[in-house]
Amino acid sequence: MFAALADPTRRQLLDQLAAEGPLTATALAEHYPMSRQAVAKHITALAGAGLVVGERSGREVRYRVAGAGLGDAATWLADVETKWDRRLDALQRRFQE
Amino acid sequence: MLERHLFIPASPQHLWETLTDPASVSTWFGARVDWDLRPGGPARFVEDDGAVRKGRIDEVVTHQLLRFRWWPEVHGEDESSEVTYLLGPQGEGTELTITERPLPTGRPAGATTARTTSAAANWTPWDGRLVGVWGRVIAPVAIGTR
Repeated sequence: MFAALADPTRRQLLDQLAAEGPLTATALAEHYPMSRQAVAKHITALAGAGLVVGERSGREVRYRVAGAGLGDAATWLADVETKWDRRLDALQRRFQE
Repeated sequence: MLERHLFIPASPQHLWETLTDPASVSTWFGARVDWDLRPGGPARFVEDDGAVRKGRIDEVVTHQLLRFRWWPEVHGEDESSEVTYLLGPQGEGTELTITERPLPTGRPAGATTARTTSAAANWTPWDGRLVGVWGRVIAPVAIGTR
């Protein structure tokens, strides 16, 4: 899962989808110096990690950020991390007596 | 997307109880949980601030693995994420791995180009296991011939 976000291009794609989504692979490719196929490969990786979802609209597929609705993937992660850090702190304290 | 590892100085059995028994969960989780710990079993969480989440158990291997999905009640299941607890004995205690990742919505993503293949269009119902092989299956593949 982290591998999907390890590539900075993918993080940029996610940010873009968060800001402007849903977008087709073609629309995304217009912003980057790479082909639609290259964008498509990144989208595939992001979809495989559950970070991006495609929705068919006629003959097009438009991609949007998965998870916290149309929100920002980074915000979702930050919120989830905060919550788990709090829980796991409390869990560990339970076993410290 | 989120992954945490920690060592708990307790046996897997003891840790499992703390992770799953509702009376114990309420002492550390930040929510009260009510769940039926069997695959498909329903779950309900009421967080300390009153927010309600609903969920469903996906997989249970007692003392080893719990996998469930949950979502804020107000958003509905489309905005669900999957949580995993993985327990492994380690020395005098247990190594606990926690993960949480968003789940795709119920509709499969189409093929990566506008020329959607009929194979991709027929990937229903959404099978979580296909997500793992998604990265490899970008050409039309008849279902069942992987």
